[in-house]
Amino acid sequence: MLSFAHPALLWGLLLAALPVLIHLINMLRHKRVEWAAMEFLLASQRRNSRWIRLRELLLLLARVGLIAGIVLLVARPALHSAWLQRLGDGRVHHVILLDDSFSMTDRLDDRSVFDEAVRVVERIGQQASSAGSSQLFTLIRFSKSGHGSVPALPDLQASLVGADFPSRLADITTEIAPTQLAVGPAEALEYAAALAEQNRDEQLVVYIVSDFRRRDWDSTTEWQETCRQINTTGGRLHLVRCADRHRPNLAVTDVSCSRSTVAAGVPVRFDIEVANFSDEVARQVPVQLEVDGKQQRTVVIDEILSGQRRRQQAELQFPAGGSKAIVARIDADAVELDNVRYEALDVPESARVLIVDGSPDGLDGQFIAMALSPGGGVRTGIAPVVEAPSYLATQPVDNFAAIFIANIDSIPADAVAAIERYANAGGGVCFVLGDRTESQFVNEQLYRDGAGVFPAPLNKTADLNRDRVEKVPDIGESNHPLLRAFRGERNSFLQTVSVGRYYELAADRDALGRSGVEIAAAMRNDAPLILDRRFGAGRVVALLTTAAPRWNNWARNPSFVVLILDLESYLASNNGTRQEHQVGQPLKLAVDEREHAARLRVELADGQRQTTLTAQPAGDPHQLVATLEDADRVGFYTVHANSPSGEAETWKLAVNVNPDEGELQLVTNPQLASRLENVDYDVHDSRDIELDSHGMDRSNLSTFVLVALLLLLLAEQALAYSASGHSTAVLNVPRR
Amino acid sequence: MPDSKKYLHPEAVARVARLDLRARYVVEGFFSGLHRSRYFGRSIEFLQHRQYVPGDDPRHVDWKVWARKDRLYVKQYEEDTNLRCTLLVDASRSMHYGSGPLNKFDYACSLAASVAYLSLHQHDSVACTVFDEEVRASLPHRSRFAQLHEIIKAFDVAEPAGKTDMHRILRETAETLPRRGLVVLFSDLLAEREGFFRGIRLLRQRGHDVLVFQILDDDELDFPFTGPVRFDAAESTNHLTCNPRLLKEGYLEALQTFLEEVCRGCAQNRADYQLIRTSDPLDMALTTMLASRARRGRATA
Repeated sequence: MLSFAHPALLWGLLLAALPVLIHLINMLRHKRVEWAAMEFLLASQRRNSRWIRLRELLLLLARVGLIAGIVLLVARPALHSAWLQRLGDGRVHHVILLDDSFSMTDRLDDRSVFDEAVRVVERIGQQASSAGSSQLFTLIRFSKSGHGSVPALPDLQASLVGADFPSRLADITTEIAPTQLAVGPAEALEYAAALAEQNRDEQLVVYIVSDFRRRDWDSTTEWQETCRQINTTGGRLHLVRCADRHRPNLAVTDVSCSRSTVAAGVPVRFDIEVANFSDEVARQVPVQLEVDGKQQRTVVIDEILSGQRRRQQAELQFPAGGSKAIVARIDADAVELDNVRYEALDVPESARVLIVDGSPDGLDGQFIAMALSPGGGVRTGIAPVVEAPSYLATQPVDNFAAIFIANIDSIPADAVAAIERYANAGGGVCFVLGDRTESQFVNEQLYRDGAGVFPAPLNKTADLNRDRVEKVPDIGESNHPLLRAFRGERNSFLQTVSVGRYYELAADRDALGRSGVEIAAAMRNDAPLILDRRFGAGRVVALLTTAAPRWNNWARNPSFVVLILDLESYLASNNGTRQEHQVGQPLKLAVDEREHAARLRVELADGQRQTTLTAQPAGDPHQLVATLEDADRVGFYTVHANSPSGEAETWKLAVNVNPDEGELQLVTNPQLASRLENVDYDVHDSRDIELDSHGMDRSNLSTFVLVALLLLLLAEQALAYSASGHSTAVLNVPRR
Repeated sequence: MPDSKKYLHPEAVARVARLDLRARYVVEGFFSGLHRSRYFGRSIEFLQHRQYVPGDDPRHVDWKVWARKDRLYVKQYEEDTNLRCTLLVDASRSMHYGSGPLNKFDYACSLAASVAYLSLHQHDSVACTVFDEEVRASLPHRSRFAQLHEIIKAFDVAEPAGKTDMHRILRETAETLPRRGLVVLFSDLLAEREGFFRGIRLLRQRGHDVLVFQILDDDELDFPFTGPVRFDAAESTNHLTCNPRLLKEGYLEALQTFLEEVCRGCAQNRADYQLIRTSDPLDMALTTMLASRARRGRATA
C-alpha cells in the first residue's frame, strides 16, 4: 500500500496534465500555410508517421511523468507492501527515547513540555499503527535507560504494532510523568545503539523526544560516537524538539549551614544561593525560609545577573534541638521543582566538644572549656566535655562537634586510630602542645612522616626572647580565618599577647607548603605558631604552645576566647556529617553499630511510603551502611532507628534536585550540527512531526522516485532533442 | 493599362538585352534571322564577319577574306530567320505561393516577360499562353514590340487558381503550333509527372525546341518551418498538421527524388531544364540558361 506524508500535495498531480494541455494549445495555435509541394510532405509523413507519433507520445509521457514525479517526491511517498519492505528495508523498528528529566516540566502555553513530548510519542504510535503490521515499537525514558549495573527498563520493548496499538500506548503514556531527575540522553542513546547492533536486519528509526537544553548537549563526545554507531548500523536519528523557547527560570541552588556552631538557642547562619538562568537580570528575589513546615523569615536578594549565582546569608535560631527540616523557597516560574531547596540539620541542644587534657593540673582543658562555655548569661551553644587521654581509646568520639587534644604525652594506638578516623570522616581536631608533649611520640605516632594526623614534625621547645626595644607584637597579623577577626582595629588585643615558649618544627616553610600545611599564625621571629592542614574530609589545627598560661599569657587575654570559639566553629564546619543527596542517586544511611541497631525504617519523601532497611558492615569498624536505591523524590527522608537500649531515634535527610537542570537555554540547530558532526540526523519540531514522521517510519520511496526522475529527465532530454528535428539535411539541386 | 514594370524589371531587362535567344534546333519562321531556317535566301543584309567555327555552313564562308588573310570568316546578316517563341506560363494555384517579394507566378511572369522582350528585341515572334488545367489566356505569335504589352496585360489579369493539367496544355500547344519553334515553359511542375513528360515528348516529336524553367520558392526548397504548422494543399483538399522539423528530412528526400526525376525526364526528351529559386535574380536565371544553351547549341550545330 502506498501512502504519502503530504497527501494534500497530491492535488499537484493535476499539473501533470500541463504537457497535454500545452500540446493541445500548440495544436490549436499552429500556423496555416497553403502548400503546393504537399505530395512530398505527405510522403515524408507516411514514411515517418509511426516513429514520430511514438516519439511524441513518449515525450509527452516523459513530461507528464516528470511533473508527476516531482509532485510525488514533494508528497514523500512511502510503501507499506510487506514483501517489498522485506526485499528493501526490512521491518521498521521505532525506538522512542523520551526525555523525562524535570526540565520537561517547563510550561508551554497550556501544557508542559512533557505533555507535548507524550503527544508526539502517541502520534508516532498512531502513524506506526496505520502504517502496517511489520512495525515494532520501543519506548524508553531517559531515567529508565539504565547505567552501570542498573538494567534498562523500557516501557515498551520491540512491541509489535497492531491496530490496537494506539490504545495500548495511551494506557502507558497516561502512567508516565516527568521525573525529578536531571538525566541526559547518553544512556538512552547507548540503549538505542545496542538495539541497532542486535537487530541489524531491522530498519531502526530512533526518535529523541526531548526539550534539547544546551547543558544536556554540551559534552557530546561520547554521544557523537554513539549516534554515529546508530547511523553505521543503518539506524536513522530524528531529534524532535518539544520546547519552543527559553523561558526565564530561577533556581535555589544551595541552602547550607555556614561556618558556625550549630546548637539550640544560638543563631545559626545559613548560606542561600540562587541561580538566575534567565537572559535578564533578576531583581528583588524573595527567598522564604521555612523550618519544619513553618515560615521563619524571608530573605531578599537584591540583584542576580543573567547566568550568575548569588549567595546571601541568613540567620535562623532553633529554640529546641532535634532534626530540623529547612526549606528555602522562591516564587513560581517556568520550572517549579528547582524553586525549592531542602536542608536537614541536626540541631543539638548544645554542640558537644571533647577536650582531652593530659596536663596533671588540668589547666589546659580548663582554659579551653572556659573559653568555649564561659557560663553566666553568655550562651555559646557549646557543651565542652573534658576527658583524660584514655577516653579516646574507649569511647566513640563521632558525635563531638570538635576535639581539642591538649598537652598529652602519649596515647595508645587505638586512640590515635580513633582520632584519625574522626578527622578523616570530616571531624575537626586541634592539638595544643605543652610541657608534657613528647616530640618523639608526636613525630613517630601522630605525624608518621606526613601520613599521620599531626600536620608537621616537631623539633624541640624554643624560647622567644622578649622584644623590649621595638615592642613588635609576638603574634603577627594573618589572613587565615582563625585570626581574621583580629585584623585591623581589633588587632589591639592580639598585640598584648606574649609568647615565651613554643615548639620548633623540624620542617621548613617550603616543606610545610608542599605537604599542604598552612601557617595560620606566625610569631615575630617568623616561627610558625598555629598550623592548619586538611586531613581526609576533616581538618587538623596545631597550636605550638600551651593553652594554659604557662608558655604564654594568651589565656588571660580576651582574644583567647575569640580564638577558641572561632577555632571550634572552624573545626566543626568541616565536620563531614553534612552530605548532599541528589535525587535519583542511592541514599546511603550510615550508623554506628554501638549506637544504633542495624534495622532502619525510612519514611520516603512523599510522606506516604516507607521502607525498612538493614544496615550492613561497610569497611569502617563499627560502621553500618544501608542503601535506599529508589530515592526518586525530592524532600525529606526520615530515618527511624533504635539505640541498643531500645530508645528510638529519628533524623532527617534532605534530597534535592540537580539545580543545573533548571538551566533552560535551548541548544540551537547550528550548535547541534557542530556537536553532532558527521552524524546523519534530522531535527523536527514537535508540531510538524505528524507530517515528517510519515516519511520516517515506512519504506521511503523518495530516493527511488528521485532516481526515476533523473532517468526520466535524461530520457526526456534525449527524446526532446530527437523530436526537435535538428536536421542538417539540405537539398542537392540537380543541374544539367 | 498594365504596369509593364511589374513584370519587366528595367535592371533585369538591361542585363538580358545583350543576350541572344537562339534556337538550338532548326526552326521555321517567317523572317530571315539568327536562326537557321528551312527556307534559304530570305535574309541577305550583311551585318558582320565572324570567325568560322566548325559546323558553320561553308556556303557562308567569305572566300575573299580567306584569300586576303588566309583565315576563314563567315558572313553574318542582319536577319537569318525569325524565331517563333511560345511562352507557356503556369497560373495554377500552386504558383501562388511565395515567401519573398515575388510569388512563383509573379516570378514566372517576370521571367516570361524578359524572354518575350528578348525575343521581340530580336524581331522574333512571340506567343504566350497562360494556363492552369486549361488555357486561361492565349496570344498568337506576333513580332511587333506591342506584343510585349499584350503579354504583360495577359499576365496582369491572370490570378493563380485551379489545378494543373500539364499534359493537356502541352498537347494542345503541340497541336496548335503549325511550325517548329521554341516553346518555353514556366512552371513549378508540381503536377502529374508522367503527363508532363508525355507533353514534352510530343513537343519534341513535333520538332520544337523546348525550354523548361522550373520555378520553386525558397521555402519549398529549404523547408525552414518550425513550430506546429497546418499545411493545406494548394490544389487539393489535403491538409496536414505537424511539426515540420520532424518531416523535413523526409520531405527534402522526396523533393530531391522529384527534381532528379524531372531533370532526368527533360534530359531524356532533349528539353532544356533549369531550376530557379524565386530568390534568384531574374537576369541571373536567364543568363545561366541562355549561356548554357549557347554552349550546347554550338555543340549540336
